[in-house]
Amino acid sequence: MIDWEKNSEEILSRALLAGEEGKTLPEILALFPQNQEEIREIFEIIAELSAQKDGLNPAPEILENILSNLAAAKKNKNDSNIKGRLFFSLNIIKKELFMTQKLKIAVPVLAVLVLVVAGAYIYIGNQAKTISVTENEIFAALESELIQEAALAGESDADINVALADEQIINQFNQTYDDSQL
Amino acid sequence: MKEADSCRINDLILRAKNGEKAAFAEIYRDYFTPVYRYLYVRTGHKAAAEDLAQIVFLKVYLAISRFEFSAEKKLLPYFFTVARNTVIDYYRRKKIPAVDADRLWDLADPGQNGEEQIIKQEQKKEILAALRELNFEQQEAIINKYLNGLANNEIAKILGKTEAAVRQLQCRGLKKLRIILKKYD
Repeated sequence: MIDWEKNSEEILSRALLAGEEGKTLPEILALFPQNQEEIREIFEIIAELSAQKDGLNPAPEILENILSNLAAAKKNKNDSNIKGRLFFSLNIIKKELFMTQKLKIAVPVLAVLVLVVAGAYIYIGNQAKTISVTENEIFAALESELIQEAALAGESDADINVALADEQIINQFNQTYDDSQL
Repeated sequence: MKEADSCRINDLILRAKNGEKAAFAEIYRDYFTPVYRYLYVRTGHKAAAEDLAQIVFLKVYLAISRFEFSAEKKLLPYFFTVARNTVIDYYRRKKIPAVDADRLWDLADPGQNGEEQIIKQEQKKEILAALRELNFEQQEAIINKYLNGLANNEIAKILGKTEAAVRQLQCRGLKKLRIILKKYD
């Protein structure tokens, strides 16, 4: 017996060819006595497929509908040719739209990525700005404190001067005032 | 295709090129049924087949003025080439809906003949469902051969393959169909 698994394509090809040449099924089976079962089953499938033809006929209304739309399509095509001289071709626009449809996943993902990156950039920028403002404020506060301290020091010197001036006046008074003269 | 058919189609094309609508209608009537059948089996949905048939016929209609008929370049393979590209485009663009086995192959009502008719319809559903389990090219080779009656040289032109390659696709497809149908049993 010829091994069906190994030689099935060759056997079947020869059997199909014999069928196309007009041989009947019994004649074909007689050519392949060792593989009759397999060939019979496959020819039954072919017969069943061929028998589906009649059951798969379209409704006549569909064709009528298509034919009635053809004139309109031709008119639209002519219109499109005229418009095409002035505007972008409708086909190009359609293709662009189709490409957008093809990128249905990529575009939103890219948009989200852009938003995330932009958000992160803005956030980091704000953080840096906050830090620099804080530093400036600290410097300003320190400077202000130094100025205040300098001012206080100035006031203190003035007090000392006033005190020294008082002391000088008292000394002068003491020198001019003589108890013995009383 | 018979020689008489070729002459008739040639004549119809010439008349159609001159704008004779009746000639267009005749061409479409001759080709509509096999094209629709092909689209129906490829998609498994009546509504999808109707929509795609409309697209195919519009494409052919708009291109017919540029069609050059010759012994090598026949109209039927041209129709099927357009139909094939339309199906490929359909599957590429559209998300394929989940197949509801009961709604798929919305075949005619079994009518009054009862049990025998129901069994026949079940067999029909089975074989068409099994057909859809084959790969794209195997389906093309088998549908065009056994459902539409195209010769292998015509199928070879549509698929862009040699006749030997087409026969190989048919053999592999038929073998696979046998295995699938055995599983169904």
